[in-house]
Amino acid sequence: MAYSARTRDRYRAVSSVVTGAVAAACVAGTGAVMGTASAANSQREHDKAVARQRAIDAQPILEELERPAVTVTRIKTVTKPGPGPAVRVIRVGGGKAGTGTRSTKKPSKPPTTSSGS
Amino acid sequence: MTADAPVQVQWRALGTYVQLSVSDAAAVAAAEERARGLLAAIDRTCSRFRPDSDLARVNAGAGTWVRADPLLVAATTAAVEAAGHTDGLVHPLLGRVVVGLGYDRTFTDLQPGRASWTRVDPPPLDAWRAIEYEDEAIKIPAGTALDLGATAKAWAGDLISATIAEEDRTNVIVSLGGDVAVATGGRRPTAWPVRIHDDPEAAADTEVAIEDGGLATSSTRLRRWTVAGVDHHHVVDPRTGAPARTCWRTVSATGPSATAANVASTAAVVLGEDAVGWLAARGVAARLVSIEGRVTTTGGWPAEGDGE
Repeated sequence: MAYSARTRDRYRAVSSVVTGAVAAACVAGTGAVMGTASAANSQREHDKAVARQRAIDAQPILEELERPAVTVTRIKTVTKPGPGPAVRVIRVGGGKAGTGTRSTKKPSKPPTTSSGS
Repeated sequence: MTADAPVQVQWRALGTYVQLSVSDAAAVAAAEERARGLLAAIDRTCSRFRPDSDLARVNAGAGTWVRADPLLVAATTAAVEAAGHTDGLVHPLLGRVVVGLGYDRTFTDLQPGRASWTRVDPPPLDAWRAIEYEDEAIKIPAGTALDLGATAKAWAGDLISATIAEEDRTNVIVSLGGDVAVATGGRRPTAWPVRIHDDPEAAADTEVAIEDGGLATSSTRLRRWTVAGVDHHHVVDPRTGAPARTCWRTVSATGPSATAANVASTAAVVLGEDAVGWLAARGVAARLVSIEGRVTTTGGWPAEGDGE
């Protein structure tokens, strides 16, 4: 998988923004203590971004995959347990017709299985 | 075969069964092709059993940033969210623990009766908070390994059903090893019948119908293996690093998605007796079967005997 310049550029952009923030904080001279703390914080963030980018850049470029990811990863899946669809019981007990309690109105659709896996 | 006559196709992927049904028979070929393509991509990026997968590279580089396909980043994001919703009971960093328990290859390749296993201390219950990710890179804590087995199948089902509904404009239901995702492609919802089993080879315990969202079943009766005379199953309790000692043999739960349902059913197995209150507090409709076969329901799940 080739990692486009997109990611790297984004890291670079983050670095620039952070560097800019440090410069701006210095120029503004908003109190020595606050300014120092803020600058130190920004410097740490900057250093982290640089280290992260170095680690990624050090890795080999792999062959580009055909990936559907570009389109499908924008689909956001709900992960939080909570109320779901209404459940209607069709049949209880026994997997074969004629056993258990069953509905008189059987859906004419192929059943899907939910079993432990 | 006419349009609007529901049709189902089945095959195997990700080490388990796949069932795909669509309400519009004319859409089945395109839907199957789309599903197979997505599953192949998910296997290539998220498999713990492929040395060339992105997940394997992230695990090999634990403690550092590693490039990863956006698909793995998305699957990891879902797994981290699941951990957050369960206070770490559904934990994405148990890779080294399950390998230590002997689950170090696809289940079908596991040798029965292996001679030894290694006790690996589980990572802290909140270790998942240290997972970092960007659009195309992931960093996991040193000394840990990702295992998305608890959430990836359900998440894949959600992804596949949503994609098919959107692209092929058909109602769709997908089961990946029992994690069931339903999506509606701009049509009147379909009431899909779902048979719930302890074991796909056994007779159904019950059959229900759902029209949207998700339904998942977690069971300690399948994916069992024996190492050094000790019986293991695949639902690991991250608090102990051992297979969950639970009073439930099977838990089925619904949710707004297959992932949410699966998070609920897996957490319930791990929680044991505390599961009923945990599920009820979240409004989750669930059916819990005890080791002895006693059925308990929560939320809006109809009591047994409520069949029409």
